[in-house]
Amino acid sequence: MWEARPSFFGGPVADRIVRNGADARLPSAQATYREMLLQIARDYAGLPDARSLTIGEIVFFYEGLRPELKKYTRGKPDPSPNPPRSKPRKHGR
Amino acid sequence: MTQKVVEEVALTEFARMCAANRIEQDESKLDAKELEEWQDLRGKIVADICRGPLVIDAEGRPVYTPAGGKAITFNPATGATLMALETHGKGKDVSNMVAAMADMTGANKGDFARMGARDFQACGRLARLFLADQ
Repeated sequence: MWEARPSFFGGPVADRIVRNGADARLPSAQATYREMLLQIARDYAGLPDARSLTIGEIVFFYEGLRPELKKYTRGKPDPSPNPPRSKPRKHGR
Repeated sequence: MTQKVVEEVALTEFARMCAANRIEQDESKLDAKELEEWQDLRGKIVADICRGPLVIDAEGRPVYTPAGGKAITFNPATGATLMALETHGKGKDVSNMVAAMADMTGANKGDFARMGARDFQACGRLARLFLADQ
């Protein structure tokens, strides 16, 4: 009865989540808004009932976290192969 | 088959529904496979609008009227809809999607079970448009 499909791609989602310090598009609305909902439920102590939040409200709260999420999920720079040598300590002075 | 709505109007209505439901309309961001599936899904939903049972209300919500049944309005998804998608666990895609459709429409799951195949598939396409996961 359900249309047999090799994959289950739906409508392209307009909203982006944060991955490694940048905006990223997930392949589905479910994955995108699920992650946003879990993130805001974790970070906002006074969030209204999560079940009653519309997608627009979920995005509104998530947008408030976006700069912070980008800051804290940004990858660390690769360590250089030859780290600068520290100057030898001078003793006896 | 007679068309009650011309295709140009149906496409405009489809675009209005997408805009109201946060669905991207810029196809340049899709890869080839996604674009093919998106065009397939869009074509079928536009055909449902042309055929007549699917209309888009003033707020951009799709309203589907199955043969011999009551009109079903798909309200925007909420947190409860996202949770309904995981009612039956992984691998139970149809059951989870019916649970989400029941949440969005306020209809009983049984209403969908009693629908004809064509109507059920049309409702399933709308749910997939808003919520589908891979």
